[in-house]
This record gives sequence, structure tokens and C-alpha cells, in this order.
Amino acid sequence: MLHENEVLMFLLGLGVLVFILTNRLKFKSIPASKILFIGYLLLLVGWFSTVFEGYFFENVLNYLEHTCYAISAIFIAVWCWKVFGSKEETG
Amino acid sequence: MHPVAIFDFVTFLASLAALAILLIGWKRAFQNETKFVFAGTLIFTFLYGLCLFLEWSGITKALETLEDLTGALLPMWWAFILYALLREVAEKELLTSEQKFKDLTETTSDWIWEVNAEGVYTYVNPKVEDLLGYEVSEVMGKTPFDFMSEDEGKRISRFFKERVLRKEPFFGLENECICKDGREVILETSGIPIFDEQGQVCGYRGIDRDITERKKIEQMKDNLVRDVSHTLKSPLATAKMACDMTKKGIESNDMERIKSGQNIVVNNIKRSIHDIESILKVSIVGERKKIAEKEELSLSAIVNGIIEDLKDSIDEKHLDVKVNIPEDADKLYARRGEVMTLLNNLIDNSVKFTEKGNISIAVEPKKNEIEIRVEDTGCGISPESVGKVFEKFYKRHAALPGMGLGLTICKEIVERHNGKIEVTSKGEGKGATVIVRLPRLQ
Repeated sequence: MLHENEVLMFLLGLGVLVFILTNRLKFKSIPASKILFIGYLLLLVGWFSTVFEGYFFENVLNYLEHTCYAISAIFIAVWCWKVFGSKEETG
Repeated sequence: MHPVAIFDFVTFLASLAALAILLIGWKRAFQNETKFVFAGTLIFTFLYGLCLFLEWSGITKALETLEDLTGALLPMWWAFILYALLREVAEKELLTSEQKFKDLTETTSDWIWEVNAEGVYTYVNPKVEDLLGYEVSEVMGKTPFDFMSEDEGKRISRFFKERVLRKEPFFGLENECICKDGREVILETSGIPIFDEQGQVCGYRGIDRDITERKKIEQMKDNLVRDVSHTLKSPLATAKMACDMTKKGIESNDMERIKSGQNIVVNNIKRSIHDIESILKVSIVGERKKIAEKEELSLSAIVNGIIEDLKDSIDEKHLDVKVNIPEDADKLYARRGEVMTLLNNLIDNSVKFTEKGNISIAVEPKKNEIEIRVEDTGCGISPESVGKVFEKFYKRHAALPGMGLGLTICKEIVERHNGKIEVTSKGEGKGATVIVRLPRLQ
């Protein structure tokens, strides 16, 4: 079953990915950018799964969606730790 | 409870932890606006995770609307946070780049500038203060031509206008500028055009380098080649003529002619050797090579020896040479070869530049040093030339004998002995006095 909000979420998410890829050189200047990028990519996979679970592999994609959200949140927490948790002031 | 609820709980907890880390380390990175956006993103993630957990754990489905709303807005938050992060990184890079440029322009030894299409300075680095003596604020708004003489300004202005029309860069343009204190400096200017969006030249950016010293050295080199050629050529030409004279003497069996020719040849060869030695001495003394050991010397013995060597010239000019070296001032602890060269150059100079009158060589003991005074009644030195006599290859007139190295060598030798040397003269035609002060014992 197609949910408009989920499709919108996924499309917006794809747009953000395009934005990251077009600015990849600048993106690399963000501290620990790889962790942040993986975190976002997992979030996007979660949104992809939630859109397409209505069409095929419902159960698998549902698990994938929730797993991706969880791992993505962990990556973002790690990124926060790396950037804001270090003792030296960088800002 | 559905098993995925565990993942949703992890999402909720991890987002909460991330938010806590952000708040605790708030001051450690990024600007406030970026952090506010990031905090918003984390709050939405944490709310989304919470709604999912409540739904999939079967606790309540009442927050389904909130779940849809937070989920739908999450990508937008990500778009905001990424935009904010990239903007901040770009700003930081720009600041770093500006700082690098500032550091480079402020520490370089060259004058860096930017002018508009009319040639008016729109940027100059602080080096201009060292080069021209003007403050940066005094230069801004003026043109390079304002710091030149009228003729030079016209020449450079014409050159600049041509380059603007042709949209061409220029390199190594030599021009003379007038400093704030009135001094003239020679600058070497290079510049490249700055183009606007329409491809028109809207200005130039470039550097100026002070090449005054380089030009002076080039001039000295030219003078050296000319003087060396001239100095070495004339004794050889004279010697050749003397050889012809000797040949004719041999043919006519005229012994007087042969002897005279031979003497001329010998004297001119001596002269050439002396000139070549002078050049070599400048090089050796200048590079501080071959430093000999110091020893106790008798000044009177050295001075008398030199006078004996110069006897022919002294007699020819009927010069009266007075030597006054008291016994208590006779001993000096120094390098023999260098002191001989020093005294020889001083006495030889006096003999060379004195056509009539007398030469006085006096040594006077002082507390810890001795003062050697060589005084003559020769052609003297004008007040403006007194300060230049120790410069390499300096000659008041090109026609004067010698290579302009004698006093340079003397100064080097005296300084190597931690002594002092000065030249005084009441003016041209009024004689000159050279005073050398050397430490007695070291």
C-alpha cells in the first residue's frame, strides 16, 4: 500500500543525497564526514524500505527499515561523540 | 510486542544519547545556528523512534499522526543540517584561505599590489612602507605614476595603457620610483590582468621588487670589466712598445736603448702583477680565506721597505717623505702579509695622488692601540666622495690611476684586525689623511 508521506519522505531524502553528492568535496571537510554519510545513507535505505515494503518482501523490508533506523541513529550518536564529545574545543 | 520494536527503542535511545552529547559539548564545535538545526534533527529522530516504538510494541497507536509528521519532516531537517554544516565548513575554509593570503602578503619581501583599470591602487601590502617609506593608507587611492618623476610616470603610464588595451600581462618592467625621503629606487614590476564577467580588464594584480642594489652591482660589474680591461691593457701596450724599442736597440747595438726598454718592460710587468694581485686580494680578503697567524711586527721595517720599493716614483716627483715611528709604537701584533698590504696601499695611494709636496707617515701609541697616520699634500677628496672611498671599484674620476680597490682592501684588513680606518680631506687639491687604529696586542 502506498503512503504519500512515505514516498515524499523518500524523495526528499534522495534530493538530500543528490545535494551531498554534488557537494562531496566540501562534504569531506566536515569532521568525521564518513560516519555522518553512512548514518544518512542508512536512514535513506530505511525510507526506501518503508516505501517498497508494500509491494514486495514486506517482512524483510520492514525489518530492514527498523534496523537501518537503529544503526543510523547509532552512527549519528558516534558522530556527535567524535565532534562534540572530544575534550579539545574545535569551534 | 513485535521484534522490530527493539530496533525502534535503540533508535530512540541512540538519538537521545546524541542529543545529550550535543548539549554537553555545545561549546566545542560549530556555530550556534548549526547546532540548533542539528538539535532539531535529533529531536525529530528521537520523536520518530519513540512513536515507532510505541506503535510496534503495542503500547499505543495514538501517536501515529505525530509519527507521520516527524518522519515526513526528517529529510527536510537533514537538508537543513547538511546545508548549515557545508556553509560553515566553506566559511571556515574561506577564513583560513584569507588568513594564508594575509600571512603571505604581509611576510613576503615583495610589494604586492592591485590596481583598477585606471591604475589606482585598490590594495597594497605593508611592504610598501619598507620600499617607499609611505604608509599603506598614503598609497591607497593613488597611482604608481604618482610616485615617479614626470618623465618616468609618462613612460610607465603609456606602457600600462597599452597593456590594458591588449589585455596582456607584463613581467620584469623596470621603473624608477621616488621614496618619501626623496631617494630613488629601481623597482622590477610584474602584473597580470584581472578580468570582469564580460572579459574586460578591470585591473591588474602583481608584485614590485626592489632591484636598486642589483642594478648597482650590475653597474659595478660593468665598471669592473671596463677598468680591469683598461688597467691590464695599458701596461701591456707600453711593454709592447718597450719590446720594439729593445729590438731596435739590439739591431743598432744601442745598450742604453736596450736597458731603458728592458726597464720599461719590467716596470710594466710589475704594474700588471700588482693590479692582478689587488683583484685577488679583494677576493681573498672578502671571502676571509687563507687567514694567516698573527706575529710581532716592526712597523718601521715594513714602512721603510715600502718606501724603498716606491723610491723611483718618489724621486721622480721629488716628494718629501717623512717617517715618524717612535720606538714604543714600533711593535704591532698582527698578520704580516695583511699589514704590509695595508701600509703599501696607503703609502702607494699617497705617492700616486701627490704630484708635489710631502707625505708624512706617523705612528702614535695610544692606550691599547696604535694610530697610523698617512698624510699627503696631494689631490685630496671632495666632501661628497669621502664616504665612498671604501666602496669596491670606486674611483672619483675614471681617468685616475688604479682600480679603486686599494682602500677597500685596507678597510677589510683593518676590520679583520678589529681596528678602525677613516679618511679625511679638506677638499679637492687640499691633500688627504688616512688614519688607521689597530689594537696593539691580541
